[in-house]
Amino acid sequence: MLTVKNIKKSYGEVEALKGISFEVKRGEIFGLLGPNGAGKTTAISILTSLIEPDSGSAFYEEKNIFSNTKWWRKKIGVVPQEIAFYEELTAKDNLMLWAALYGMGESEAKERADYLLNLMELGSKEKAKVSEFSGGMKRRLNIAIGIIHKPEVLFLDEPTVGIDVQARVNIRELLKKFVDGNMAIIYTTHQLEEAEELCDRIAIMDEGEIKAQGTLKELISNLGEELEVEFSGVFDLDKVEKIIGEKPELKLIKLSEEKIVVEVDAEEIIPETVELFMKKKVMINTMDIKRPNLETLFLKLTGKELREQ
Amino acid sequence: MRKVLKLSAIDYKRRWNKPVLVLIYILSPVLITLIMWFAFGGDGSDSGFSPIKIAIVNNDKGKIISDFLEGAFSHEKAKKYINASSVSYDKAMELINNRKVSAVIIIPKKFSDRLIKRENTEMKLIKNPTEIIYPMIAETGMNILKDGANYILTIFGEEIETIRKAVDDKKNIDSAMFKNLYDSIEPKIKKIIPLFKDKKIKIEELTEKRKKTSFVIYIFAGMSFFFLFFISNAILNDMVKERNKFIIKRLFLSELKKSEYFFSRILSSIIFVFTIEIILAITGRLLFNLKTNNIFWLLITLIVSSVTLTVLSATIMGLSNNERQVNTLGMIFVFFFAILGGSLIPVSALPPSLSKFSVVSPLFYITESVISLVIGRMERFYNMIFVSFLISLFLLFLSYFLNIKALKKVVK
Repeated sequence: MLTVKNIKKSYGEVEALKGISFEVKRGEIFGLLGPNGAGKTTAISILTSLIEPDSGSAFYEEKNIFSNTKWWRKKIGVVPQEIAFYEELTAKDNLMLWAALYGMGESEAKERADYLLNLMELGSKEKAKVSEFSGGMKRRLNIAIGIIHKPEVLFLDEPTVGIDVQARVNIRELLKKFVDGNMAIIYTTHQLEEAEELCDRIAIMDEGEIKAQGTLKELISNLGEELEVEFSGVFDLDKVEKIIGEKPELKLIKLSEEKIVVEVDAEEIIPETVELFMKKKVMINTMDIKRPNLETLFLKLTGKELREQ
Repeated sequence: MRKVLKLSAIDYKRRWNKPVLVLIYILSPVLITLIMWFAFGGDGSDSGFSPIKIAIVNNDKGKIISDFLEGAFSHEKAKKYINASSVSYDKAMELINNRKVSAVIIIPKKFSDRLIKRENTEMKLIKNPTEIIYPMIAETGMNILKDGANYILTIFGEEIETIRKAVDDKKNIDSAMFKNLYDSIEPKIKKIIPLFKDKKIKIEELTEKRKKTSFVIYIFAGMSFFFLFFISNAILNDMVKERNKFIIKRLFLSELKKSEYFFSRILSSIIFVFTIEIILAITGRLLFNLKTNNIFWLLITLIVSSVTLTVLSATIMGLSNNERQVNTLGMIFVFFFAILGGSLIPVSALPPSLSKFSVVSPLFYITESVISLVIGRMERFYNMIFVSFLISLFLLFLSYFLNIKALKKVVK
């Protein structure tokens, strides 16, 4: 288990990390979800021994990773945001190079490289130069290099940044394939759907702090049972305000001549509300029910729309 | 060691990724040498110089001296190198203004009369400002002729007035006057003639006959090292590029050591530069007949020079923080060392104020090593190759220190 305790890091006046703590178990994908500048990459850089923290500690198998850097580097794999390999070479050459640098023997390296090329669906492009690859293929090779030496802890720092939706979905599918019970994964992203789909537990980060962490279910349950209902049509504002005022179960969020947004405690109140509007001759064109999700949680915790990032 | 070799092999492979660029670097010194070869008649045939074009404006009516000067330029041997034409002043000005001639020589009115009367007079010279060498040659030639004319006047000064009268007024030649003139000139001529007849003054050419190619080796070796320096800079530029990218961190997250990284880069650059040197050596042998029987020392020279160029480039990389600095420092170092080291201009052709600083350029020693080896001056060769070796060793330590320091700033 990787245990991170109260890590802080500042760059001059700027506090990049204000004391983050979390735990990651073997076989678990732990997501660090946050907008750009939240401190995710700083956290990864510290935990991969690339930069030193100002304070705090981190342990793996009860060993301090900051004072056992050499040992720790053998245990980890890193997949950076940046494409970090030699594009003039083939995918296999790149994999063989990193395997050699990790001290793997020639035959072992070849076997592992072939396995990863197939796993990452790059087998058919084995002899092509990487410079001829698509963005998605380069990302897949970037990941393959990160796991060439079978690390116990894998850090993935926004591994799907800058590629199209289809390639991103493809990479998510591939990631699920190689996750097994032995590897702990720390996955940073600012994509809500990635965090929701891939991560067993998620920490929501903003401005160098972890605002909340837990499983997706635990995080959403913190929001309560409220549902947000959005009606669209052409509305008489006074009339609508009066109707809503008569029904205490409805909490008005937003009202305009085209849109009414209300919050309700329970789902059964929604048909009652629609009936009331019909009775009072308030014409509704469409209705949309929003259930609590990671996005609403993120908005509540940080006051920011993550999709805007 | 296995990691150093693996990373070097991968790096070496990457270098051939842009074969056109490599070809340009190989062809550049070959083409430049070929151009020089033909331009300067490097194959031992007649000089490839085109004759120096000179316009002469002869305003002198007296004819004797001015005809002598004009005639000197149209002498059979001189005509090979000098194309002198007698033109009017206006035409001469038109030619010089349109850069059609290298120099204009103006012989003033009464030039001969004044000389005969042993009065001061002067010829005028207008040089083409867009040329350097040809006008200088014209001026030198003019000074030689001036000294010659002054010498003749010094010897025959007393008789020259009589000679002029005799030439100008052939009908009234007085036999007494002629006898007096003969009596006066004869002893002087008797003294001078033996000097020419017995060829007391001779010029013996001691230029080494064995190697007609020695001129080409200067150009070819110099140009080759100039472009090889560019190649080693281009190869090692990656060390700076990578310092600003995540790939360097990824390399060191594996068990790679900083020293292993440094030596792998150095090794791949040395092997690459050495490969190009071998190609150039073969090309030089085939095209320009540049060869040595001392293959062992040739190989040593190529190894030492590839090390020198590599560690010199690595020093530049150690001093640079980003690509812009590499380009700026690289250009400064390349041209500074190339000019001083005789890569662009042979050291012997440099002004004395510059040539004394050649000793600070590592390119000087490697260029001189190759030249000395090819022309067979072995004593000089041993000195040069030894100094090159010492410089390489010093630069290796310096570049190691600078690059490891730069890496420590990027990776813990």
